[in-house]
Amino acid sequence: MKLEGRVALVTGASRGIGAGIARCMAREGAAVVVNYFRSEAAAREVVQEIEASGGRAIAIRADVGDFQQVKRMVEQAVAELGKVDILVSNAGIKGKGKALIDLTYEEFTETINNHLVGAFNCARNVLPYMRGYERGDIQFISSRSTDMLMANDSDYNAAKAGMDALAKGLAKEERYNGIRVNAIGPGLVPTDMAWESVSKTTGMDDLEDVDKGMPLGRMVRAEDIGNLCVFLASEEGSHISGEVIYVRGAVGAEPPPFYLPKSTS
Amino acid sequence: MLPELSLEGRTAIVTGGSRSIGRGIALALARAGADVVVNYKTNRDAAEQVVKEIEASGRRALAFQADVADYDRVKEMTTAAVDAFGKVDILVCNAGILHRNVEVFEVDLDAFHQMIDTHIMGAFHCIQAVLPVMRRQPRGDIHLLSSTHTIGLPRGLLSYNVAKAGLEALAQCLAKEERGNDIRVNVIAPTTTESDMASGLLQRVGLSSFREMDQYMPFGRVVQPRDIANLCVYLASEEGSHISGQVIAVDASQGKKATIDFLPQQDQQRQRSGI
Repeated sequence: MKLEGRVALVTGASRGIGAGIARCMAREGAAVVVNYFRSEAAAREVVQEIEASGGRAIAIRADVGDFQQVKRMVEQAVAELGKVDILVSNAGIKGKGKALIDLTYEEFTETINNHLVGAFNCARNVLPYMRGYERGDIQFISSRSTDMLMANDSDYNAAKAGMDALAKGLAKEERYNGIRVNAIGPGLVPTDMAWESVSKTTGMDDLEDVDKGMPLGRMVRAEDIGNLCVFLASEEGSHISGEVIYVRGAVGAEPPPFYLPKSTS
Repeated sequence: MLPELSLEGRTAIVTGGSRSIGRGIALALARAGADVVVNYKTNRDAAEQVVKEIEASGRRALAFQADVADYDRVKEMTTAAVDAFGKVDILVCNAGILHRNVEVFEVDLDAFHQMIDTHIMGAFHCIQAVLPVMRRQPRGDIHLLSSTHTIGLPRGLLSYNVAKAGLEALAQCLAKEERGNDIRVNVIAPTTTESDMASGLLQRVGLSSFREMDQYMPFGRVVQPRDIANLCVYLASEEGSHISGQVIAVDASQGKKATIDFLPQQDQQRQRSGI
């Protein structure tokens, strides 16, 4: 096991990519804080699953966009699990999918607040503890969108590109404190959030059919992201910092319809 | 609990596998379960030594002399690999050379061509020779070793920078071409790594060992061949199977700064050496 003795705080870990990351961290021996905001039942399930396979996990509710809630979450995590030396800032919401001219101030700031400010809130509250440990790892779950920067996505693009920038700058600030900082840009992962649009674009309602038509034989899964999180936080990945790594199969910066399979019906 | 990253049943060619980073990669791939062809150009003894180490750990290995700039010889190497191990499904293009103090105005054309021939054509030859074999395997992985110099593009390394940047472009096109054939293509870009190639840095900064540099480096040490090798293993493993077309630096956050910039009081030496 690669992460024995470590404590990972994964935000937005009740579902989707975050749940996958939490499971991978636990599989490698880390104790995990499963952060959630709305999906309490799902968060409890992730915790139970980790406990059932012999791991240690607790669920803590916090809105990552709220600095005080994040502060309390980190305090609680340190109190209950002794420390937080891995932070995976994953919690996020869908972009509004609108042209900038149609976005309201409230819509734009909601996206920015959940992703970019959320990542800041987590890093800012964890860092004072993390600096006291021999090693720390901060991972921002960004998006393939920062390499595509497509139209009608300015709130999401700006939020995620901001997270990439945050990672690169922070990596330099903390490199003499033993803290590694990286951003990971997942491709389209068939989570609750993305499956709807994949299904609509492809005209397929069976994931297996979509998988068959994808480069490298399947869509990216949450475990692909979680495995990279583990590698980067392990001894093997210890000299990778300040990177933005896309995990998107062999898909480049192409927009989805270009590489998604087409329904034959 | 999952097993450690496994490359059981895989066969790799590592170019420039006799020394330094290439050696580290060859050994790590073998440790993860792969059989390895250790390519070398001149240093036969070193290559044989790597082969011995691999065989002692229970895997098969073969030393093969080939200048990667020589396509015919590279084709012979691929044939030898298939004859010995039945296939090639991991290719690591690591062989490289470094020329300093190269600028456009005063470039030595032969030396410039040598740089292109070794890095870009060398990788191209290996890929062309290996692809027909690799496409028949359930999975293929191609790792091209570049450098963080393609981020900073420092003056004085013109031919090296151009060659490595070209290599990265090659990788990103190839990743798209071969994604329907289950072949992953990635670029790994080390910063200055403890190696024969980087030993010139020690002389330039007046240090006698890399250990004297460790204290100035992020995370407390100079990047080691094993740091590069670990990423090679990860990307070729099941765990890293959906990463392709990426350029991943192993540079401990150094970015556009060169390793020399982290050392104290090097400005004068830097100005004198013109870099």
